[in-house]
Amino acid sequence: MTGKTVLFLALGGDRQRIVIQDAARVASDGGRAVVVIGDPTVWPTPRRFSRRVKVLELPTLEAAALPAVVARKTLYGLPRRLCRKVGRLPLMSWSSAVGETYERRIADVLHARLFLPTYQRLRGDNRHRLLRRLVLAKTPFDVVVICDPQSIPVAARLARRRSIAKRLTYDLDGPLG
Amino acid sequence: MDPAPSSDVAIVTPWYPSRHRPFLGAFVRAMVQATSSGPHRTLVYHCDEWVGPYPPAVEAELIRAHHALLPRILRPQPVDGIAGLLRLPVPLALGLTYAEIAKRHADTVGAALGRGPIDAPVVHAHVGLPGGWAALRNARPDARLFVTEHATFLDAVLAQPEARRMYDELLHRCTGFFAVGRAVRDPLVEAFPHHAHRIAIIPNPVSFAAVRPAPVTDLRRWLFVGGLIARKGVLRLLEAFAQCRREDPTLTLTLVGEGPLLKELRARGAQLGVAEAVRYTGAVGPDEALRLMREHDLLVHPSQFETFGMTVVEAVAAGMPVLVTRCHGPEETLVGIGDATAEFVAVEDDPTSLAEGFRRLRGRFTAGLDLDAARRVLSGRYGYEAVAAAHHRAWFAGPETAATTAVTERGMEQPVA
Repeated sequence: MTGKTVLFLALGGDRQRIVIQDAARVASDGGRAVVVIGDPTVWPTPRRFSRRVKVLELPTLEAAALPAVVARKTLYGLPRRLCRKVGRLPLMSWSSAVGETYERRIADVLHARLFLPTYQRLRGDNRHRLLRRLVLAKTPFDVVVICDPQSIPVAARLARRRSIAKRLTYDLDGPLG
Repeated sequence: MDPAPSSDVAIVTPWYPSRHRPFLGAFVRAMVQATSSGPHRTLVYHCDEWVGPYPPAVEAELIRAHHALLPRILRPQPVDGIAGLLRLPVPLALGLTYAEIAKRHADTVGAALGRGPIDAPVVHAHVGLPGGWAALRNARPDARLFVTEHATFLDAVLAQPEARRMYDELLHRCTGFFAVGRAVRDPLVEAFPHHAHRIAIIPNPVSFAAVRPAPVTDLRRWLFVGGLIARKGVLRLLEAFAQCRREDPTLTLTLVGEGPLLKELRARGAQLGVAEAVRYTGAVGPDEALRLMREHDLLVHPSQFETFGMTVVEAVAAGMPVLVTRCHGPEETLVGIGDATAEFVAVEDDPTSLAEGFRRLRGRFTAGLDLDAARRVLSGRYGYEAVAAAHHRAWFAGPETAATTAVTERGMEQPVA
């Protein structure tokens, strides 16, 4: 495992000790370890990862996807800019209050009830695309380890590409295809 | 995994040591090591349970994906002395019955193999459910199927009707069935009297290769090896150790293993004023555990129930006496050599009786135990050669010898002759 670049898919977070130990081992062997976790709140002590291990949170990756960026800019960015232009003194406090009310009562509701469900319905489970575009395309990982059951469906979709399938394994020490 | 790897012997097991769980199934690995001495090639299928709280909808999707993925990415790991080791994750939701768990194991092995069966003329499974069932469902029609049962939770398995029915079918269809001792065989015979003639005994093998550098001269350095769980009697052990240490402050205790009682043990050790004399190593690999045995003077094994009690035999192999409870397995494994190497105490919660057992053993040690003689006897019973020969006779001899190879009625007096 010396000097390898390893991606750990730990989206479920229910085999944490193994993931933390294996990632630390890769780093201490002179390699590079990146761990992708799902819900960060299920990791009670995320800081137990070695400092040399990079931890990516899936919600952060999802937020970086283009449709999410466009939705944020449309629902929040543009109205904020408008408020800033309109809200010059002496209208500053008034426009600030209107902006906050808009975000709370309209933007948040539209984002949660319209954008997210529609986006999820149209795109389905696109976690594998996010990983491919935002993680795998940026780093030539030698090994991709499937660390828990909830990472398996994502790994199965990633494996549709032969170039990724041959780097996938269930065990850090397991042979690759 | 295309095509499915072929071998002369396939081992199917839910337990096998790994980096993260070096203790789990150490006896299965010992059996593989012992029996791989011949020219045949052995391939191990380790069905590694990944248990979690998955909702049914999620679970169905992940199993579909898992079964599609397995044959594409699974490859045997090279392991010294055998053809290879296949680690097959088996995702399991919490709360499944033993029957459901066994079916998941069988489905996982089947998925890993693609469309073919396990390509081996001899398939040997560990643990009736799930290992035996997974082997039964995936063995070639002409394969000779053997099962070794070790499980301490056999009563719970047999209490579930569907699991019991599957167990009955397994016993009916396998070529040979082995229990590691009477503690396993007796409840099976009681549950399935019509299969009594098929259930033989072959014990776990223990390596007697390593020799202790210096003999034990005093029983000062206590050792415990096992899970830090209630069934192993570790709290009783700590209390008894504290009692004995009040009389002899040079005593030390090393606990090898991990478990949910670690915190409680540390706290109680501090209350009892023995914290500085107690060392916790955490989980270590089997080789390291055996090395530690050769550096200690006494194994204390206060377990409430053991089907075999491999640690006790390993301790005698390491040239140390044992203070052990009458928890079924050890009475059987040490039959005839108790006076030479062991002191038995009752299974109970009272630490005083354990401390008294230590005082008796220490007195007898001074008078002279015969540890070498005990070691020789156990080597003949449980050494790699003896146990491997019993397996080889069963695997490669005619069908009529399979179920009668091992001793069935005389217990451990001539266990694998």
